[in-house]
Amino acid sequence: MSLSGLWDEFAASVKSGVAGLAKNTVGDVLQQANTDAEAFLATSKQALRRWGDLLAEGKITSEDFEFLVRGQSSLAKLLALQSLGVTQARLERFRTGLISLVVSSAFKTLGL
Amino acid sequence: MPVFADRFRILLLSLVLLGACAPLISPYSEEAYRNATALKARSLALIAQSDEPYSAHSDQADQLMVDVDAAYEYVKGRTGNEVSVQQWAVIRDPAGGLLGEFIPRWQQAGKISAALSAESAILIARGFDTIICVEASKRAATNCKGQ
Repeated sequence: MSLSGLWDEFAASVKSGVAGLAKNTVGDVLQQANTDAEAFLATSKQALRRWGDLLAEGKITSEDFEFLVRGQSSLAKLLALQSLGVTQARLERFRTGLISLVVSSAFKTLGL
Repeated sequence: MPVFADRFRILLLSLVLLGACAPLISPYSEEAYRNATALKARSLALIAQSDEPYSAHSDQADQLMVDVDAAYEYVKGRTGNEVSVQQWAVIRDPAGGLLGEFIPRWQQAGKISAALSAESAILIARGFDTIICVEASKRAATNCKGQ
């Protein structure tokens, strides 16, 4: 096989591997973030309604209500951090997977 | 041949650079994971007793907050761990409506109403779950359901 043929084989091997790697590591990041955000909004709405009822029934005070709202706000921050952390972890797996893929494709192409 | 060789050199150089980059996030830590899961369980067990006088549980509460501080310091000491550090900071925040505010509030009030205790437990549990999720996702792809 010519050297340019070897390059083409190597490039094709990397490209097909990258597609699978990306799908398995970072493919649904945006979709997951949107799903998480929607779920959080839905549970926040339910929680606020429940706390409003508890306040109206005298089971919690207005200070308690404010405390819970602060907690919900903090939870929003934590969920944003969770999305960031999970995305970083996926990108890290993609990075290390890419290095392995390129090295193994090169070895395979060169018959090593 | 020179074209292939040049491309290969560029590729190898790129790989070296890519491999030399600092990791985007710290590696999985069994200790960090264990700290988060254990402290979640202990926090919820203590919150469940917050309708009782704080004085009866002050030692437990003090020890819990010392251990939360230790868990925070542990993640802070690991490089590339900014997300986890910020998460623990939110949990500990004395004005954040989560554990860091709940315990002093209990101490000040003496007792917490059953309704507030139950609602706080939900929030604090979910807060810990976000820390657990990030640590678990460092080990393997994780679908953090129930967040």
